[in-house]
Amino acid sequence: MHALANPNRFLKIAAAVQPWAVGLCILCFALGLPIGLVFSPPDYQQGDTVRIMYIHVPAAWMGLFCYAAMAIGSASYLIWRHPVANMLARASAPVGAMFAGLCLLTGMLWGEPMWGTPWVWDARLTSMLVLFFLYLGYMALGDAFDSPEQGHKAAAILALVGTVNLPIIKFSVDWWNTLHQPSIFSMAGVSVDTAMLPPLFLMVGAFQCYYIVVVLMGVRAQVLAAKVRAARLMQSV
Amino acid sequence: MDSFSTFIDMGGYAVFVWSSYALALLGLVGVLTFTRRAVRTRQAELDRLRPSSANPTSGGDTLADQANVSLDKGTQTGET
Repeated sequence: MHALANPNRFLKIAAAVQPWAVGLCILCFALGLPIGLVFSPPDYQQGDTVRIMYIHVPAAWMGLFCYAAMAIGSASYLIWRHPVANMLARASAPVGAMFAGLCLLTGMLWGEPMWGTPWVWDARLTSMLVLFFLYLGYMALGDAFDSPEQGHKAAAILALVGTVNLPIIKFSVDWWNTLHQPSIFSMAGVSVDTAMLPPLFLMVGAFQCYYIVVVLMGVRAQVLAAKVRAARLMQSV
Repeated sequence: MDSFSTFIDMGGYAVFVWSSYALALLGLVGVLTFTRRAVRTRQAELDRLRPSSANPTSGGDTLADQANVSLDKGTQTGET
């Protein structure tokens, strides 16, 4: 971990990883999209709206995953002053917010025909909306202070406090009476047609690889920003 | 062609399914574009400020070493 604290060394590793992530991402989309849209079966109750699941569920997963990455990065930053950890956290925010927003919007597009309403204030939908606002708050807070370091510390604390929302979202369908359907994976087994699992996993894989591509790019942007700041300081000396 | 229009129709739910996939495309392309632009503008700014040492992945040197490279004084502040 400490070897990765050097930003330049991290960027060299990132540059090596990047093309593989891009390739795998394209491959997962190339397989997942046709299987999801064409070759997987329609649902016996929901018909072809079930194909929204291949966007909605991976987006939901990524919304939670990116927040967890943000929280772990923030904790590492606050505890060990790990500079790259904070950059990873900050780079995870825009992409996580996008996935959370995509989850909410595709959920509305799925709910309208299937539930008869695009929205209810049930536990899962509400807590997911809160997560989306936490992302926005994290991004805004980081830039709200004159001193960048103060902003990053405040945002990191917000990220950690908001982590309690993750188990709430995950277990909301078990703890409360919700309109949102329960988890498809449970101790009792899988409650969805096995033919729907391959495109689902492929789309999750595609989104994960996309995340890697974007987050490494985001870290590069922050390292460059730090160098620009340093160069400006040198010039003013 | 008939099976193609059946496919597009998505059992009558065309607007919901295709809007979802369109939003996904928009979001994915949007965040990627935003991030790439951030890298590009910062790289351009760095190239403008320091045309000699513009490669962000050069060597294993620390940020501090990179910052000190433009100092041409006899002594340099020892930063690690």
